[in-house]
Amino acid sequence: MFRNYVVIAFRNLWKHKLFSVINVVGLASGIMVCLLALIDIKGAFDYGNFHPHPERTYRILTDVTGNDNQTTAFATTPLPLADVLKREYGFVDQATRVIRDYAEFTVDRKILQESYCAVDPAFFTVLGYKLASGQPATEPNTAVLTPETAEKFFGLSNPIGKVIHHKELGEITVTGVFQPLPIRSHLRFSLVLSMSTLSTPDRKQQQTDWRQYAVGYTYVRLKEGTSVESFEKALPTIAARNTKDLRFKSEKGYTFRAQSMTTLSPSHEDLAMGTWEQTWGKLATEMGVGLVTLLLAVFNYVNLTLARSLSRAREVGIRKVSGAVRWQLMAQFMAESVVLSVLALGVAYLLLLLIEPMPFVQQWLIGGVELNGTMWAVFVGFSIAAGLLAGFVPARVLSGFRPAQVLRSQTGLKVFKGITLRKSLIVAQFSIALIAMIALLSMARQQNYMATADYGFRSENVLNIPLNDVPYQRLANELNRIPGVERVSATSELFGGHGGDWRPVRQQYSGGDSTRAFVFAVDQNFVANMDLTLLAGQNLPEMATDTNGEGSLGRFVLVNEEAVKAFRLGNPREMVGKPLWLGNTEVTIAGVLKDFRFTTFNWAIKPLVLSYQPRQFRYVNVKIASGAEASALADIQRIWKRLNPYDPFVGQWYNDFLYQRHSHEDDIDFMSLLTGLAFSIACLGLLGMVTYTTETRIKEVGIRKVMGAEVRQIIWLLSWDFVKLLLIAGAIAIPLGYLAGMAFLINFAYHVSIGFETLGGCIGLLLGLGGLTIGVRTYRAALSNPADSLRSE
Amino acid sequence: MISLQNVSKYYPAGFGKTYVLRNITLDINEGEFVSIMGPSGSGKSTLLHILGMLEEPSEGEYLFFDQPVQKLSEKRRTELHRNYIGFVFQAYHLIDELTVYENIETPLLYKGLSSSERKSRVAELLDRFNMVAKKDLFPTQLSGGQQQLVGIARAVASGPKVIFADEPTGNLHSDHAKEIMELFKKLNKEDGVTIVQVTHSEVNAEYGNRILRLKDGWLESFQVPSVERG
Repeated sequence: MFRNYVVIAFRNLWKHKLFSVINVVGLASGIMVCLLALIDIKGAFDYGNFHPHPERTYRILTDVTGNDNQTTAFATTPLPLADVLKREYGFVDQATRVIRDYAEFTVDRKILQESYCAVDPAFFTVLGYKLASGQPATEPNTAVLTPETAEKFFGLSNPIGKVIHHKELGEITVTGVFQPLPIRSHLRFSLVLSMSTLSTPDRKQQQTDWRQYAVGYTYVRLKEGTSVESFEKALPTIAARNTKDLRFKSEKGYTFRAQSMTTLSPSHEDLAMGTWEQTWGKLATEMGVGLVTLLLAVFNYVNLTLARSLSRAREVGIRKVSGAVRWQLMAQFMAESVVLSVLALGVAYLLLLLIEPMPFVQQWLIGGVELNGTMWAVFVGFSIAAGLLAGFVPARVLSGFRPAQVLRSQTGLKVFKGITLRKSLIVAQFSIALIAMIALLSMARQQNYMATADYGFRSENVLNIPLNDVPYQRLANELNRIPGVERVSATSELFGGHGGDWRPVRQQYSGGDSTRAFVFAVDQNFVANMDLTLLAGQNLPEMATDTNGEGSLGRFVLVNEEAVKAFRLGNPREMVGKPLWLGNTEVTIAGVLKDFRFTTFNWAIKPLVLSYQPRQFRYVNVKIASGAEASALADIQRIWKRLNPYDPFVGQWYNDFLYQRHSHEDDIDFMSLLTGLAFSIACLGLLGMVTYTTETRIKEVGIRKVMGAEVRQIIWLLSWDFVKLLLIAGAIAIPLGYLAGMAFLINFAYHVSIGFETLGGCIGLLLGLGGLTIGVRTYRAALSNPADSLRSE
Repeated sequence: MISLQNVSKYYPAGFGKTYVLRNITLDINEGEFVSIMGPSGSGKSTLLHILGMLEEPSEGEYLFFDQPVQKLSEKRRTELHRNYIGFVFQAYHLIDELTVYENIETPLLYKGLSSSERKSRVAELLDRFNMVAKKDLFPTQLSGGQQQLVGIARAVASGPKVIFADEPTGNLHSDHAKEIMELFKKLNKEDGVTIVQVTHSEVNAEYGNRILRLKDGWLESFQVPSVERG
């Protein structure tokens, strides 16, 4: 019986090729997106696997209760905890602390911003980051590098024994190199330092401070055979004992609990100071997107099968009078949909191979996951389930035909079932595709806006060059001599990123009137170079007259209007000459700048302080006369080569920087792919629907043509029903798409509006594509010769 | 074997109802060959569908082998279709996606016969109907007469007690029609299969041993011999 089902299924699919192609392509697209999600879910469970004894290794979490009685779970713990655990509890085998941070490391004149972990010696045994060569970093001022970092720092030469510099920690000796880190790892770092390397006073203070619970992570491995309960019971006791005499500023207190490495990822909760583990929320979103795509394809299957019910009805009748019961017919129809979806799985896998190289897919979805037999079993099971899902509704409808109705006569048989259902499904498909498209277009337009908008400072013809450790003054002098270079300035950070140094600025040395401001270190040419407008006062003075000694903070600063507002100092003019305290240094406001947008558009304009601080300079901005770009650039590269022979020239035009910083083309590419899939599934479905519906009306077309209808009228007659559906889909999707787009744009202080051009463009595309799909078929039907269609009856 | 008592069939139409069959009382015994005749719209097909349990009467009682059909469950009725009843249609109604062999095999599949039993039964039928060479062809590759042969082979495959034939020769040339009618006669005589056919043709009706005439839903003549008009 089963063999018979499968044979018939294949024959049916072969006979109705349009139907099969539409459904295989649609289901394959849906299944492909689901496969991505399934692979990512599998990967999420890999995070704990590579550690040596995940079942008895734990990370300690801190549940902090605030003054508002809200409890926040932190992935971090106070640093003294590890020591207490190891010293006082016999069942603790090993414990290690991990502090994560970023720092600038200098190697052979190269300055590199890298992420590091500072760890206790037990880190190398408790967690599964294996060394490829050398020794663990256990002594003060030692480090182990990842292979990528080793290559970045030292090229191909053996890094062990070499030295890297840090301006506060001093010289650090490399003792080992890791094996390549697993991609599916909840900690990511470029290098690992021994904990004792962090020897600055505030780091020392953190090591004994029970109040600072957000600094480092604590990992514990229990001895074999230890009951987890006794460990879990001990944790709150430790918290209670050590917080008894503490005074917190804004918290009531905290308690500890253990998180097993086996359940670390995917995590059920959002942890403050969380690491790279996956959350169920992200995975559920991916699976949701996958299932929605799949559902669109399932809609096609349901629709087209029902549209073809006419041809299947007779078969149902015959089989019923031959003695088939309903479930046997349902089984037969479901077998067809399952065969179809298993075929689709094959195509989906090919599609997956096709999109695998996309950066977005690698980075966010499937990077570092190996497919094994179990995964394949899951895939096959999933596609069978998808087939059953798709087949169920049509199978129920088709198997319900009564033989007396469908067998009565050869002609005049009208079997139309589920017309409302079919129309609703088409509307749903196009609505979903359209909502996705409006949201996507809003995102793309916002990113393009941020990449190309006028920020209020000059980005045209300005070349930014990272200084590394080339002395600024020397480079500036050389650059100024190049023909075509109009002006050279220096800055600590580039505008258009996430700002500079966000720190408290006070009006008086002591007192509570501080406000936070972004502090940029710039020189006096900067204002002119960036084409900033002074509203009051004057520019920073000449460097020579304004230093408290070589390289330290200058006495004068510039602020923006927003800072004037934040300090509540009245109008800009009154602000000039007022004192401010940056840390321990008193400075005077020399001038007030007209507001301009110096951060990403996520934020509204914030208070800004421009100070003269040559030590902080990290970039030079070179304004080049328009027309002289190419020649000046060549000269600049030549000078760079002379001053800094070991580093490649990495200068970048400001406009290019802004563009790259803000246009996330990879993300948009991937989302366009999804939207495109949704749209093509919907269009294919529509094509099928129009085809089958038009076939059943071909006789009507013949009669109408005989009566004198024009081709134009016939096309309209056949198309209007479908055009109506597209219009309804548009009416549903416009408000919802608008909301979806706004939900994204609301994150930006400055954003594009979703206006006529976005909505109109999307609707236009919908009507254009949908209309083309409908038109191709109805045009052909309208051209048919009435003699052919009428003769056979 | 078949007994109808005051059977009527009507459909709701507007505020009233349209009668298709009125007050039919009739008995058909095992081994009979009955022809149902009547003009278009007289209710022939509906009567056949009721006899074949594809439709239910609106009123009256239907006994099939002394069992009241109205009270049978869906499952039991399917059971009867599998084991007692075969159908032959004017439009043949073969499944286009299946070969001749598979079309004949279909009722046996639903009857739950083993693979070897099915094979021998289908082989026997192919042989008997002279279709061995065509067993792997699809219905669209056959002539109308051949298709109807397959339809009859399918109907008798499960060894039914009665075959209901709805204008079995309506789409065929007279030569083919004769062949088919001879076949029915043979089945009736040699195998003892009861046959109930609907037909327009007086010639074909003569193959049977009794003719029922329907007009506007009434059973016109019961005992009157078919030569009445002459």
